[in-house]
Amino acid sequence: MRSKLLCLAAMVVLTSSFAFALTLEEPLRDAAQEARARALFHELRCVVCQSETLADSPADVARDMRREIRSQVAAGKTEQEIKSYLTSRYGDVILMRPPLSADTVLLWLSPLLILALALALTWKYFRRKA
Amino acid sequence: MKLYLAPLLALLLLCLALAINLPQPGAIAPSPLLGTVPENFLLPSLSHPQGKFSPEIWKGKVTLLNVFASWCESCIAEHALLMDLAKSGQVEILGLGWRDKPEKLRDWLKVRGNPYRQAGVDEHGKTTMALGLSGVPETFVFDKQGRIAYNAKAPLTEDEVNNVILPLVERLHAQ
Repeated sequence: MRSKLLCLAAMVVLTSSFAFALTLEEPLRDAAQEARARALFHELRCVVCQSETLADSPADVARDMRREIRSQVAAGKTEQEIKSYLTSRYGDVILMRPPLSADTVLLWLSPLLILALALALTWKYFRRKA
Repeated sequence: MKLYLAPLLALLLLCLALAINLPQPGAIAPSPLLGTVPENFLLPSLSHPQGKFSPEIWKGKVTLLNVFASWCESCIAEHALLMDLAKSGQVEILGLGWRDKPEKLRDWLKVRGNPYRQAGVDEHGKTTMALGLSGVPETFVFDKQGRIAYNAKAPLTEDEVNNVILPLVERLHAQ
C-alpha cells in the first residue's frame, strides 16, 4: 500500500512539472482573463524551443512573451490584436497553426495528398495481384 | 517502370524538396521588423550611473547594437570580433545587457574588455518584444532614421562582419 502511494505521489509530481512554467509567474488576478491568456499560450509557439508552445516553455523569451500577452489581455486587446502584435515581431511561425495562404497551402494539403497517393498505389497493387 | 519503385521515388522527391528549403542556422525566418523603427524603451545606463539608455541615443546615427549577457556562452565567441570592430572605429557599437544584473555585466566587461561606447541594462526583458529577440546574442544595425537595417540572431562571424555588415554600414552612412 505504501509503495502504491509513493508511486502515485511521484506521478502527480512528475506530471505537474509542466505546470511549473506558468505557476512561477504572476497570473492575472481576473480568473477569466487569466484563462484567456492561457488559451493563447497554447496556440503560440516558443521561438526558442520550437516544438513547444508558450504554455510549456521555460525559456526566458517565452516568459517575456507570456508577460506581454497577460498585460495585453488585461488591457482588453482581442485575440486577433495580440496575435497580430506577435506576428509583426516574429512572423507567422509563432502561430502553432500557420494561416492558410498561398505559401502554406502545400503544407496543409501535403498529408492528404500523400495519403491519397498511398491509397492509390495500394489499390493498384492489390488489383494486379487479383 | 516497376510499381514498387514509386514509394521510394516519392520519398526521394520529398527529401529533395525539404533539403532545398532548409533554413539557415540561427534564424527561423528573417525578422519581420527589418525596415521598421522598434517600439521605444527606456532603460538604465550601464555606463553612466544616472544615465538612461534608449533608441533616442542613436537617433540620426548609423549604429550597431549588440545584445549580450554575462551568462551567455556564445557571446564569448563573438566578443573578440566586437573588440576589433570597436578599435577600427568603422561603426559605433552600443551594448544592451539582456536579463542580467548591472554588476555582473560590468564585471564581465572589465574582464573581457568593453567594445561599447555606451551600454544599457535590461534586467527584466522589457526589450524582448520591442526588438523581437529570440535570445542572446543578437546584433542589430540601425540606419540614420532609426530603422532596423540588419538583425543577426546568432553570434557574429568574421565573414558576416566583413562581407555583410561593414558594406551595409558604408551604404547607410552614404544615405
